Amino acid sequence: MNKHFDLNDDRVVVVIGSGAGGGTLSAELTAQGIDVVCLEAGATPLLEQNVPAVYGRTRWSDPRTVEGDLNPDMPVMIAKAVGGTTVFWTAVTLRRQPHDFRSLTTYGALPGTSLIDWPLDYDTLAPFYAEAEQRMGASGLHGKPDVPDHNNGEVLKIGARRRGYKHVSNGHLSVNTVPHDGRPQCRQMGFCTGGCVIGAKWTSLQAEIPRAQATGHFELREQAQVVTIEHDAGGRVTGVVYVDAKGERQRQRARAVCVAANGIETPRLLLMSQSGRFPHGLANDAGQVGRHWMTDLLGRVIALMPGPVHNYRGTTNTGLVADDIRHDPSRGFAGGFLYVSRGIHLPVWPNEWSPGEWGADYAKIMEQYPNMASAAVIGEDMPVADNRITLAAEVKDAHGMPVAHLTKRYHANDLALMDHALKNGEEIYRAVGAQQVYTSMSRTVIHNLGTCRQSRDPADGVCDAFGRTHDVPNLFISDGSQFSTSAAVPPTLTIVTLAIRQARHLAGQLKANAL
Amino acid sequence: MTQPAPAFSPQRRRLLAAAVATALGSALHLPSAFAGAPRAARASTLAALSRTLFPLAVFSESQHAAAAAKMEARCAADPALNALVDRALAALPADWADGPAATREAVLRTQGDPALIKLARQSAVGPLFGDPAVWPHFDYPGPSIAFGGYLDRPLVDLPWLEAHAT
Ligand SMILES: Cc1cc2nc3c(=O)[nH]c(=O)nc-3n(C[C@H](O)[C@H](O)[C@H](O)COP(=O)(O)OP(=O)(O)OC[C@H]3O[C@@H](n4cnc5c(N)ncnc54)[C@H](O)[C@@H]3O)c2cc1C
Ligand code: SF4
Repeated sequence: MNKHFDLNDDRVVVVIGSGAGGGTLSAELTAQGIDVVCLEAGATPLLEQNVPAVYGRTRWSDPRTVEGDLNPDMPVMIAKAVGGTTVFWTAVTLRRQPHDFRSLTTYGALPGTSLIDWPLDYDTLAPFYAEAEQRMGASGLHGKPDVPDHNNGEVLKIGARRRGYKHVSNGHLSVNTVPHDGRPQCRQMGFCTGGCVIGAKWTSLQAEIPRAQATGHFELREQAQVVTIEHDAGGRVTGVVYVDAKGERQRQRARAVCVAANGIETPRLLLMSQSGRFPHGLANDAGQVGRHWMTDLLGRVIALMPGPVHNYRGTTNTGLVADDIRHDPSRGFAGGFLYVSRGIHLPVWPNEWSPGEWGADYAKIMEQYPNMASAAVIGEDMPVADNRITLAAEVKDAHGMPVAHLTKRYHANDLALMDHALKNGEEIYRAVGAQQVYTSMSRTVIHNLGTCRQSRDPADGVCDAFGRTHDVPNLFISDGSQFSTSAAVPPTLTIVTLAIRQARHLAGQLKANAL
Repeated sequence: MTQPAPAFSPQRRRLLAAAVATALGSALHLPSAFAGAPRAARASTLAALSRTLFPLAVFSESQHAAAAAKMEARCAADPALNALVDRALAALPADWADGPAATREAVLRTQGDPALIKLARQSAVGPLFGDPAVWPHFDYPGPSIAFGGYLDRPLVDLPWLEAHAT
């Protein structure tokens, strides 16, 4: 049941965003008896097995301005919906490695990067990782069966084994290989990116929001886009101003505010919350808000095989080759990467495989769709202080607020890593008879990290190891923005893990009146 | 990818197009041929753009027309884009849309405004590849919910892979 809280109720915790971070945090806080109002800019999405239709209705399409290496037409692909980008996610659920929390120590101070170590270590997170994996029903872990093999995964895995790779598996996906958490078994329907119509894939929409609602301590307000966070003379947050579904401004008072608006909107919101006390934006005394934007590196390896593959069948990302997640400077770069098979539906195939291509030769290749095997490279990118989110000087959104200006230029290490990954990816498919292999780096990003990062020293980042901002005691960062560095694995399991840990800490503080 | 050379030099085509445009424009007291050309002519040129980008026999004329309608819808909502499309079409030879496929492609590659090509591509992908009528041609079944997904179907069937054992 959705509860209702008064706008002037200043005992509630406001959570901004209902995705992986905000949904999990809401469920955990309310489970501890804390009253939560979750403000979500998007609406409840209508899911169907039609990827372009769901993308069209559900993606974040407010304008943004772009500078640097990303595709100016589609720099970022994330959601504006109840459940956030978990509606689209393909559920690869992998832990960061211990050294991923000691990036500066492990890689050294690479020129041009702003590497730091995290203020927490792997062992601190390990029990929370286990809890998150169980909660999300991760396949192949904690007694859950693996997802079944399928063609697209097998082509990648067999190729990799022939090339001598050792860490070849079906990975771990947050899809139910058996019924779990009141949601059914995955039917291998193959439409994970359009949202799972039966709820077999863990999403905040289908798992965490209902969990929070069941506690009686939770109100979700959809189509409620926060435009500023307010504070008192003492520099403590007092509430937020949002635009409701009717376009009217409302002020919700709050005891604490947790921002989980994904790594672009989170820093944008802080930057928009300027005041006499915080002239450069909230929690930005050190000038760190919006900086060090990491996106992970995404590559495509598409192979024309001698016979049918039908890559769209079954879970999108079955099939994992994880040998390269290690840090091994002998390869010529710092950090690591992995390969996962990646099914792509025909209606989005021309855009996701080869944006911009056209013509007779290209169309002939398109006709080979049934015989195409497809994998993604996911790799670690380096933090660079000037890769950042700022406020656009000229362009305003529908609410009259400055849109996010995105600056991203790949570091030499990023390009060396991707080059290596794509070359070896091609060899994997050659080993199973590929007739043609098409490799490219994606210039549309789906992970946004580091823009309000955790740091031991307040001069280096925005928040501490619990996501609490250095400058404002009752303001928390609750999404991938708080990552100090990216990693070879995708981020969502870690976002959920950090949210669980933050919720326990915050609930304890609130109950003890210590905040 | 190799492209056949255009039938005329690009420069000669532009001159021809300009001459036609001027003639038409003065006859109808309109600023340029394409800005004032009947809507139908513009629609068929936009459909020819879709056909040039994705020249597969499986795509029907009505699909290319749907792509053209999408381009027009975007133009209707964005006057600057509309003006750009006018200019970009005027820069193509007047008979471009009627030429053979290879010529259309070659001319578009040398004289096509990248913004026009971008608009055409963005508008065409949905009506062409998202139309269930063409899915059998690509051996793509579309939604799987009606038959309960692939869980109880053979998910691994790669007979060709045996032949490629190394
Ligand atoms: C196609 C695709 C596949 C993916 N696959 C994987 C995968 O396999 N593994 C993995 O780990 N990750 C994957 N991801 C990434 C994953 O979806 C994200 O890491 C995760 O959803 C981020 O969680 P979040 O809470 O930070 O943000 P989101 O889930 O994006 O939620 C943020 C929410 O905040 C809302 N919001 C923003 N601004 C405001 C505001 N001002 N007021 C109110 N609400 C606001 C947004 O509308 C949104 O709903 C994938 C992403 C995509 C697009
Ligand atoms: S493959 Fe499984 S998780 Fe993905 S959409 Fe289908 S049923 Fe849902």
